[in-house]
Amino acid sequence: MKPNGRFSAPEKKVPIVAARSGWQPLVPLHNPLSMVKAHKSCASTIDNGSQTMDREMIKLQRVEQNLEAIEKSLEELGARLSERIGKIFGRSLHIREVDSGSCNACEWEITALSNPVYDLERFGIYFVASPRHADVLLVTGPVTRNLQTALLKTYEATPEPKLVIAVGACACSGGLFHEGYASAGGVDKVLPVDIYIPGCPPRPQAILQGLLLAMDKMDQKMRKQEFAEES
Amino acid sequence: MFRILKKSLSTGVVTTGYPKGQDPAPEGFRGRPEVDFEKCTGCKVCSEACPSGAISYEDDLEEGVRRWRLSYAGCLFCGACEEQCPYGAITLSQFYEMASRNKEDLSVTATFRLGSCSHCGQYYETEREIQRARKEGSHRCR
Repeated sequence: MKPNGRFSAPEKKVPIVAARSGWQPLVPLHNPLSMVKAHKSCASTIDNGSQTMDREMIKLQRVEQNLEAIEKSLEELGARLSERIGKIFGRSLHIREVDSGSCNACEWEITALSNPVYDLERFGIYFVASPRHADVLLVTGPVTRNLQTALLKTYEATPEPKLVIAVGACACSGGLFHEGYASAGGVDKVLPVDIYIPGCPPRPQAILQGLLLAMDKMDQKMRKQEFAEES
Repeated sequence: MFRILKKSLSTGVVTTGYPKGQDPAPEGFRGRPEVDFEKCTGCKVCSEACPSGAISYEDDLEEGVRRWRLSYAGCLFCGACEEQCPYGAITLSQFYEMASRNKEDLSVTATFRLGSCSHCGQYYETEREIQRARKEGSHRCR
């Protein structure tokens, strides 16, 4: 059936608003070793005699060694930076909860986190009233078309470095609603998601585990399982 | 005021010690579906029962394999697969700590070899399921 004009799906997908920079470990944009390889291939074409070739090769080896040292130091720097970010987030986390078309079950469980039984604030995690005060967006729901723009605007309003956590089956993969003209089918279709918390709805303890995973205070317990029949 | 103080003292601490100690889910809680591939024959009944499409399969007729996939990211933990599975291969456990950084870590994949028809030579069902049907003399699945 051809969708009519009013409810037809948009032709272009809404692009991801901005690439995140702060949270990811520092990676050099260009691989310096590839440049060395390019130089090498150039040098091999020079046929001014073997002596010049040898000299060129020695020079290139030196450059290569230098570049390796630089790459190593950059890696160390990146590791230190990500550790520092982890430390900053590891002390305290401010959450903005975003409902993007959820059925409210996940909200109930998130609300339960601030009651005396789960007591989220003992970990230094707080719910804030504005995305401008937040480090983390806690997104629920499959991202409906009505709330897609609101979600994107909220994401843009959150200062860097920021995390996005998808809570519930809908936010993780669209859940029961999948993809359709009214549903984007999961938060990761619209925004880069850092942590997935499946469940319909997840238990408050499960959400707590996700938040502590974001703060690097708990380890991930899920691993990919594969089975292949022996031939 | 004294009454309130008395009540709060008598109530004591209610906060769960979750991240340090274990906080097991109550009985009857439907957590992560665990698949026992010793029992599973790859008959795809679960994927037909799944309301959210979290369980899916794909028949690769060129290689002669069935690729079965369960994604916990889309699972509603409704237990339809556990009810429908004819071999009791899927059970919903009490495990709930499923937060993960990567969506791939939330998936279970399996490959089953397909058996072909002796007359026309086309693949039609997994070898395990055909063997079971031969043994029991009935074909339970469509």
